Amino acid sequence: MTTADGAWRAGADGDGQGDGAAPEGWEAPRERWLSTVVRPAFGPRSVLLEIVARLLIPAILTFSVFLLLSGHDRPGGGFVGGLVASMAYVLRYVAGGRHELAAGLPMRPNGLLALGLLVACGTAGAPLLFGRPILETFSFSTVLPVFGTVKFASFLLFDIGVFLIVVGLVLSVVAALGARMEAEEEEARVRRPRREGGR
Amino acid sequence: MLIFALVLHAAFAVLLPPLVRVLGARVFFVASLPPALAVLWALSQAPRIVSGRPISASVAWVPALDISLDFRVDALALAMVVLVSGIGAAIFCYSVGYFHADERGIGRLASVMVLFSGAMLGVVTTDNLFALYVFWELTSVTSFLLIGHDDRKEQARRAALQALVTTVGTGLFMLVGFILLGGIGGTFRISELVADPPTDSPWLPVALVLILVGAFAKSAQAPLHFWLPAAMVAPTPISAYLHAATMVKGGVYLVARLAPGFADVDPWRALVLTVGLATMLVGGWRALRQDDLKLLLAYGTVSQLGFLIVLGGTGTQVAAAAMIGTLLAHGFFKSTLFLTVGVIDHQTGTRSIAALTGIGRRMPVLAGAGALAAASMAGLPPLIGFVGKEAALEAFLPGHVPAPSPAAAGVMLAGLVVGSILTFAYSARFVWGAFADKETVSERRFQSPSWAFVTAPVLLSAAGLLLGVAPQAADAVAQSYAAPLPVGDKPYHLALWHGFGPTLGLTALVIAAGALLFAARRTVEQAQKALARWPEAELGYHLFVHAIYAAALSVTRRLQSGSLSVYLGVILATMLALPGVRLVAALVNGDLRLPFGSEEFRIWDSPLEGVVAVVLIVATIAVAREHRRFPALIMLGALGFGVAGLFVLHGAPDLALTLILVETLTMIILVFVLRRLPSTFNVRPNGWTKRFTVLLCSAAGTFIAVTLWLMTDARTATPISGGFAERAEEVGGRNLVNVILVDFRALDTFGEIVVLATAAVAVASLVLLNRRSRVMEQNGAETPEENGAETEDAKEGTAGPRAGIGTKEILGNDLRPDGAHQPNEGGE
Amino acid sequence: MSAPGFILVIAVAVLYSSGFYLLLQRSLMRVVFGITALGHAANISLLLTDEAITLPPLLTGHEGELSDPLPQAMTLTAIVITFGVTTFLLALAYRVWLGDGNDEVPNDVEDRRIKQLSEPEDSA
Repeated sequence: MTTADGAWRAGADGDGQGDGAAPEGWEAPRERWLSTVVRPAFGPRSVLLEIVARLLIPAILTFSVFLLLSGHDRPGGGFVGGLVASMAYVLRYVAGGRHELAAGLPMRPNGLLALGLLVACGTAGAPLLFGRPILETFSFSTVLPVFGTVKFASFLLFDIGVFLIVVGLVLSVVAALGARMEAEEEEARVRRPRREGGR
Repeated sequence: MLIFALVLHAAFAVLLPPLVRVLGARVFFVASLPPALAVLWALSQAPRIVSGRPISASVAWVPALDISLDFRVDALALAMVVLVSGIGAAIFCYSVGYFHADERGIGRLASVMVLFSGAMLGVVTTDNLFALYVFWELTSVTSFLLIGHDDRKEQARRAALQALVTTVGTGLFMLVGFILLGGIGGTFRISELVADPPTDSPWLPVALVLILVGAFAKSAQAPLHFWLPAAMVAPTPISAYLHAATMVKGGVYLVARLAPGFADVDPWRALVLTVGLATMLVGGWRALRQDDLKLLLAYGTVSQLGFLIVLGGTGTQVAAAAMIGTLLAHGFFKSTLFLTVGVIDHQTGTRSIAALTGIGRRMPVLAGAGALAAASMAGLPPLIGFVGKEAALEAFLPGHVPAPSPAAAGVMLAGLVVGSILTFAYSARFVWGAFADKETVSERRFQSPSWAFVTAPVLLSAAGLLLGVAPQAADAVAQSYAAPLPVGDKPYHLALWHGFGPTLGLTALVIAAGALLFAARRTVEQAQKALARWPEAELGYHLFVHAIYAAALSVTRRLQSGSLSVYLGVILATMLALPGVRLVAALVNGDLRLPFGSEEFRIWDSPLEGVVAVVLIVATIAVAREHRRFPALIMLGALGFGVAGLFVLHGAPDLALTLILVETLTMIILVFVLRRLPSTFNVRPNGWTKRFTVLLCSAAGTFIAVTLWLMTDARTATPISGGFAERAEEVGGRNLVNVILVDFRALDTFGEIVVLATAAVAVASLVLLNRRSRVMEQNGAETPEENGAETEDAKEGTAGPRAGIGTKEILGNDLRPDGAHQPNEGGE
Repeated sequence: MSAPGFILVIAVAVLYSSGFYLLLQRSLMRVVFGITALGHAANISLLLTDEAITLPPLLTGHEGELSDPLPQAMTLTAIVITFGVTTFLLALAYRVWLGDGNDEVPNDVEDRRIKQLSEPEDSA
């Protein structure tokens, strides 16, 4: 999730100075709680929610990766991991509105879907190149300096594909049913007074 | 070679349309090559075939079902190949003169005709019932396309459809008959079935009757003959080829093909003789009153087909020989006559008897050919038609033939004599109507036809003469085909002269009476008019089609109310009515027992499960009863978490985890949508509708639950996931569910993620579609720069990777004064 | 194999009944709820094919009978698919609401037209 983090920081750096008269001195926050101007998806702006989101989102994303990787031995896996990861973005959207969601995404939901399908297809089809049946898996263990014995199985790749698809699904649904509708409502609000003024 | 010829037909069918641009109507010369090749090959093999050694070829087609394309050319097939390919080649050449280069769809016409030629060749040479059926239907379909060639004429379309419905509809009966017959006989090879016919099955008559129905419809037997006269809207070469010489003989061929094996099985012979004779008489009678020459010939064809069915289905040696003779005779004279009418129509623009005069003087060659062919049809010596008719009368001389019984033979003989008299009369009427000088009619101006145009009818007519003068050729074929059939007093040979005997006397009677009938044609016409109009057979077809339409409409009207809930209710009711009633019956009878009171019966496995279940039940009922959206939503969430709790109790942590996450997400997304909708559900069902719905749904739910209960109780097999644990350790995973998902059953998961991706794209498209249409609407009304801003905004809204770059724009948009936050309305 | 506890059978019956009932309603949102309820019902049905109370299918070395992992894998797939279907239905409902101003299932226009055809077309 480094990409996500990078995009987020880029967004945060990009508009840090743009917000009216900032308080002087050391007590002024260097960054906002969230990276863009906040207009939450529902209801009035909630500082508590914003802070919680700020604190929790990295933890949730990390947890989702943990679920993904440990899925072979413990409850978890691509589906659960993907749902948890998308939960982080949903939280971000609820707290910060659609622009916040846009700022936090590593790529478009469709890109995630495509990447996920690509990874899954690649894992499924790769054994064909070696004359093996489709979707065959292999695994090996190796000893790494810090982590000790590390097991790697090719179905982890497949699970990553599943993970990406699930994230892509949830995000495109949120983008469509949440952000898109929100944007339309706003447009309608913007347009209505103008039209009335014109007449 | 035979298979090569068939493939050649198909290949030419593909190649011809592009050639039209280069060759125009001369494309038919090219089209005549495959049939010409086929007939030359068949003739070159004729001595071998006639001597009793048929040619076979085979290609595996559907090996799994033991269906192979077997081909077998014996004497009967040889006669048909001569008709199909020989006459076909001649008619293709004739078409060059008949069609103009600017004729609409000439490429399609040529292509379909060649395709038909190939299909018909397949029908008469294949030795497999399924292949026969496929080729048979292919001829029906090509016939449909050819009849409807002029697709701008409603009449043509209707006639085409009528022919298709009649032949293909009955073809289905035939298919069932084929399957039955093959099942009874243990083989689908026609030659084996005929050589060693199964006799003892009670289903055999059913199979034969079904096959006969198909054959009768194809050969336009009464009362299914109506499609053939209607099909005369097709261009004349097509009528000559399909609806006189070849396709309509498909039924005759099939009857003749099966007769050696099955003629003695009741009710084959009775059916064939009755239907054939009736058709012969009806067709002849109707032909006498037609004014359109083509229709006259069409009814004549119906009559002759009845005649042929009688001969082909009788299953005696003399009748079989007569069938071969008449088959060849009819093929040649009827195609000649059609082509003659085609020339007359083409040159003068009419084919009405009442409008034609002086043709004989102006086109003597054509008139000669036509008269010769008509004489063959009338049964005059020394033509092949005479040879066939002599043999036919011989075949039913009471007391001299093995079948049918003398009384029946007497009736048949009388019927055939009457039919022949009618045939003579309408033949004479045709010659008179087409060629004679009529004083009452004023002569039309027309050009004489080119010699090339007349060649085909002259050649075909000459072939009839040749076969008549030298009947040995036809006789050889006939003897080869008729050899296995029961013989009468003495062997019979097709010949012009058999000495003085009863048949010669009958022929003389036919000629005399026919001439009399023709001479008295005005009286006959008046008599026909005076008779009350018989019910037209076509009426039956219309009533049938009308009844189907009406039935379909009334069923649709009742069932297709347009209400989704009614449809779903019907599905539920069906589930209850069929397996549900059976379940209740089994429970009442005691075949099945609910596990009450048995040692297996438990209220719950742990008290906690009971608590969760009660929460589930309460939440579920609340969801169903709640009319406010948000409370219903909350209850739905409670329901989902309850199910997750159940999963935890039942040792499924993965499921519980997934379900909790999914439920949470579902709730959030439902809130996105629900907050825009009104706060209560609009329509509240009440009264009897509601009560009935509740009852139906409760019954359906109870049925499923009880079934589930019984099934799990009755389960005896061990789960198939037995060895999964060991294998999972092999691949290095300890969470079995996850290993199943990503390894053992990864293909399922793969399918699932494709579904998920599709759903994601579909959701986005559904919502954005609306947006796009709205932007399109506004483009007309609003100023351009505003549009630009909006589309820019639209791009941002979909949350892209350009977030870092786009933030300023977003900022700008967001700081609009009127963009300040407002509480959301419940809907616009 | 043993049958599930009676209370669970009742729960499944209630879930199916309510699911069907909601499915038969006019409001699209209730239809969506019905599909969700039916999904839960089907998932529980799958789960009930297994022994009642067992250990999770994790190879942790503990003693005891593991639950059958196959129905669980199927159920997991079903849960996620149900989620996809639900969101799709929501999008549909939203579109219907945008178009008609309500979220009701309208009667099919084509079907109504067929129904209005009282006279069959003349085939002759």
